[in-house]
Amino acid sequence: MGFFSLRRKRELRNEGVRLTWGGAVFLVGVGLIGLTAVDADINLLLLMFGFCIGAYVVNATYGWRALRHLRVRRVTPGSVMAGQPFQMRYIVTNQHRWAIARSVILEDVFPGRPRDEAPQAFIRSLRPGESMTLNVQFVCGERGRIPLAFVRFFSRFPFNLVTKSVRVQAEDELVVCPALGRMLIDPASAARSSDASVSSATPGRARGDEEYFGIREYRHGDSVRKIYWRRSARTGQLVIRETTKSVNKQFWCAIDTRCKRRSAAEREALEATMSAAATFICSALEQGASVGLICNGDPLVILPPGSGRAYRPRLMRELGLREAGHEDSLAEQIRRHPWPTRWQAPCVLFSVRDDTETADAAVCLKRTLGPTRCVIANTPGFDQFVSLSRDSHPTRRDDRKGRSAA
Amino acid sequence: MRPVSPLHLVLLFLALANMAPAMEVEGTWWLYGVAIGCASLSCVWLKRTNGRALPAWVIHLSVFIAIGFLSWEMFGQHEEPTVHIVDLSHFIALLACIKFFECVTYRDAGLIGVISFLLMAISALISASPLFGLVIVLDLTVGVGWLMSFHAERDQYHVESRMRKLAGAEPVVVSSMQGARRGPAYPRAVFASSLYLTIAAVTIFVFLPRGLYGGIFGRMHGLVPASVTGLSDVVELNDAAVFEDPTPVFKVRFSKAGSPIVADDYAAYMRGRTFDRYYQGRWSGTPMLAPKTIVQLDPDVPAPLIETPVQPAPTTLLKQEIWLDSIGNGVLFAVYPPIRIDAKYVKGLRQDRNDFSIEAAGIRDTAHYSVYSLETEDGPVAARVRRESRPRRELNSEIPRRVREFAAELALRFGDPTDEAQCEAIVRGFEAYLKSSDFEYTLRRGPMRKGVEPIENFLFENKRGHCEFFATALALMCQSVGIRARLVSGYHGGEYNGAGGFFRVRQKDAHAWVEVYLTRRGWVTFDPTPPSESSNQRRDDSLWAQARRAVDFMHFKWSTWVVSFDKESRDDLAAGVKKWLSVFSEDVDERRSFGELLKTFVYGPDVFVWWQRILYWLMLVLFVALFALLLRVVWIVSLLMRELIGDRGELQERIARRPEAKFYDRLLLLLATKGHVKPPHVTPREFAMKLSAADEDLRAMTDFTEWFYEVQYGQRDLSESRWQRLRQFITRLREETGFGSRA
Repeated sequence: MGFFSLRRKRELRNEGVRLTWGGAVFLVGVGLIGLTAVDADINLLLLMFGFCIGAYVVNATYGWRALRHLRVRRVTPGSVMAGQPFQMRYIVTNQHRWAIARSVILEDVFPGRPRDEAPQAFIRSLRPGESMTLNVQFVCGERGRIPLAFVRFFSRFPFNLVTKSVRVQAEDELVVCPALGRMLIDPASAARSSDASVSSATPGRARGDEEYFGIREYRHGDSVRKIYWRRSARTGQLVIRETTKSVNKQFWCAIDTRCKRRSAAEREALEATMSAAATFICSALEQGASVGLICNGDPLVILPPGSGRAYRPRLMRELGLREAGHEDSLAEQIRRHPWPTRWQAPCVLFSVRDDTETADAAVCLKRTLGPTRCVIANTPGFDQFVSLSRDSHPTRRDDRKGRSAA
Repeated sequence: MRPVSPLHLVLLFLALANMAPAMEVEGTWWLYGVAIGCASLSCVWLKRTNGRALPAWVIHLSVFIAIGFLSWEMFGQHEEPTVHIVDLSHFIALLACIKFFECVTYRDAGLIGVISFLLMAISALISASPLFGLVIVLDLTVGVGWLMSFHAERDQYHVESRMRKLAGAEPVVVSSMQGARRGPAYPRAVFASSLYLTIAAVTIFVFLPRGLYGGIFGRMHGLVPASVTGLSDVVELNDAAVFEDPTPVFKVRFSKAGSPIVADDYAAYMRGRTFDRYYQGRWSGTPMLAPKTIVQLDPDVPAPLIETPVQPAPTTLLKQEIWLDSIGNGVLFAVYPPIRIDAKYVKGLRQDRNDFSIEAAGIRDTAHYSVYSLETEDGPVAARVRRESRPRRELNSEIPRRVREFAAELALRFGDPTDEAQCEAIVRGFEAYLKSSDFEYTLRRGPMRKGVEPIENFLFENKRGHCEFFATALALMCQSVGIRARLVSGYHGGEYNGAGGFFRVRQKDAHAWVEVYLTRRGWVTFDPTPPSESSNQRRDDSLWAQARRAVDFMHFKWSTWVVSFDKESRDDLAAGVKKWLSVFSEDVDERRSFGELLKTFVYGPDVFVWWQRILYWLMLVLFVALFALLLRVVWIVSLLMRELIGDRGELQERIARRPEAKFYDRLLLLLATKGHVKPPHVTPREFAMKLSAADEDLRAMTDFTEWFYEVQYGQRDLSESRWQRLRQFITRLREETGFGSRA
């Protein structure tokens, strides 16, 4: 507990002064200069020693006033997709009457996460009373909830010998939804039959007989022609115009989240499963279908089938926050729950393990809801169902190249 | 870093400036030329190759060549004694030259900055030049500004690189600034930082203890310049160089029989102290233990210094009316032999009965007196003077054997030293020998190696020196052959002021000469110093000469106030400040009302002249700045202490807490990692209720808080089942990432 508590105490401390690495090395040199100066009684060296010590004093004292009067307001996007860049916005205000904040670094501290992964932004100069908006592009690699506790301002101005830091409370949270991939088969056909063959047919929306549905974020595999560049520039995130055929379908997405907490392979498989499920849900919703969600665990999650853009964040948030590591049987939980007949619809069961429990759950779902398809992670069927590769995002230049090639 | 940008060019300029004092020490200006060439070439190279450094093999080869040069300097040179620290400075300068060609990244720029700093430290160790002062001024202005810009740019670069890396190396704008004016407002910061740096440095410089010489490092070179002065109590011959100090010492008006002497080339020998014992490069005097006290009974009649049988004729007397400036050790200057003095305003007059030198009880302020000196060697008065001023018997100068032998051999050329009648001829011969073209008068003779006898070095090897060397040589040669001689320090010449009819004598007019005792004539003045270039150009008032004098003055002040600043200087400074403040306090005491007191404080005492008033205001500003800096330091320290004390308070609270209740602290720390920080104003129960309402996982916190109350304040113990539940909860909190995370 000792080391841990010390580290925590240091993290929780409001403000502080610390020597930088360069400052510590320089201090050794300065000590040597002082020793030489006093020992040899050399006045010029003594003068130099005085300037060096003065540099530490100035570095430790200069800029404190403005640093302590910096206030920040964080604007978070609420929920973001794992692996997709998004923008965090910080509105920083210097509330001091006359002190200028110079060369300040803003660091958003995520408790429980490595300091190296914290987003940072640089403020070169902020005059008294002025506000500045900092847009920081950032990527979260894993889904889950990120509590945002405080923002740290620190500065090494002017000589980089000492770091002065101040912590400003700014509580918020960020929900990271699973990474989205690309469906390799039509969601409707995927869910309709349990033995559906893998299809690489182009989704209906590419045939031109679709209507405008809305705007959503860019995902790998989307046509670059559909990128809504004006909106992308405004939001800082690639978005596309979404179109869909008018269909009236209903699907279920069931996820068996059993996995061993300490097994990295199973955890990785679970993340892939979550991503596949999210991709399936999004694709189905884009086609105008109603999608419901079943997730085992404590408690069992059942979100009845719903459709529309407003329903998507709810499903995504649930997928983002769902914890792994329990061994509750999905079949057992389904059996205990009453199922109205109006909810009967084709279902896709995503699971990490290919075992009797999964088969049992599939049978149970088939009986309760309707035709069920099993998608097991790390099997050929999974790879034919969805593509989760994360390539680089297209740019306008790529788009032009594509056009000229065409 | 973008090469050949303003930041890059200023770095090269600063590096070149910082290495100048180190190169100046041994005059290795060719190396400095190489550095300038390298800096220019690197600029051209980096510009043409668009910021590509020289190939690595070229850099490595250059480093090897530099190492070879260092080895040659340290072990291959046999002509001069090697000083390794100077050789090291040459090597570091060469490394800087090589580094100029690969100054591409911020790291490279930082390395060049470190190299420059090292060169500056070496300069401080081995140099005493005012060039170092100029470099400090440059570093405090341009250097501080450069450091600020450099670190700001580097920080920005690091933040952007990091965020680009985190964002997947996408070419996106990482941060943008809106609503704020762009561009750094650094001039104000540079000014404030430089001011604080100077205050801190001067404070440390003045108040750090001196005289703790341990000899571990030692002084590498005895290059501390000094000034020949007629005011010192000892004469030492270890100066590497002396400078012409234009500080005024006194004004003197000469007159004879009531007629002022207006010849501007008139140069009298104004004696100060005499020295008759030489020992290892140092002259010291033998002052009389019971000097004669002079009392001027009648204010209108000068006091006699020598009781003469008759009054001397006015035509045989040279009157010197002297206005002495504030600097002084009590010596009253006069042409030899002084026989009357009119010093009604000077207290504590005394006279040495052997050499007739006059002194007052510590002159610290201006003094005005008149002295009458005898100008003739005939008559009863002169005879009386000869009788009175017999030499001391004990002459125990330690004369080097080589000098003694040489003097004996040389004396035989001019006569027999045992014959008193031929003594004058011998002294004249010695004087002529020293004035011959073999010897050169110079103010900068260079440093001497340790253990070398200075006068031996002067007579047989170097043959260059200033007046003290010439006078010492003559005095020792005379003493070697048994002729009584002594060294005299004082002033010779001066600058004639036609309007005032007086001569302005400055420190640069300080001189040393010799007085030889001849049986028939008494003490006779001999000056073996050949005429100097500066004395020929004494009245050169051209712009160039004035500029040289100004530089010389600056040089002198630098060496006096910085290089040679010691404990005594500090005491003098403290005394000066005290005296200066006493003037102020006297002025303040006269006033009673607060308004007048404030006005006096802001405006300064009325007795001040304009330049004193400006100095006073500058001092006020400095004091205010120093006070502000001290306040700031105290404030920062108090903030930090508050943090520490806060922790200590927390610790004390925990110590006061029962050991069984410490689980609550553990819970709080773990909850803080999940984003739930307990504000100090919230009670544990309120905090628990808030947590259970916010998160399902933390619903148990209400139970734990109740247990905490029971254990801490109810003096109860937890049952084993409760401990088990608590342990499970803590384990989940610690190990499960999502458990209890802030929702």
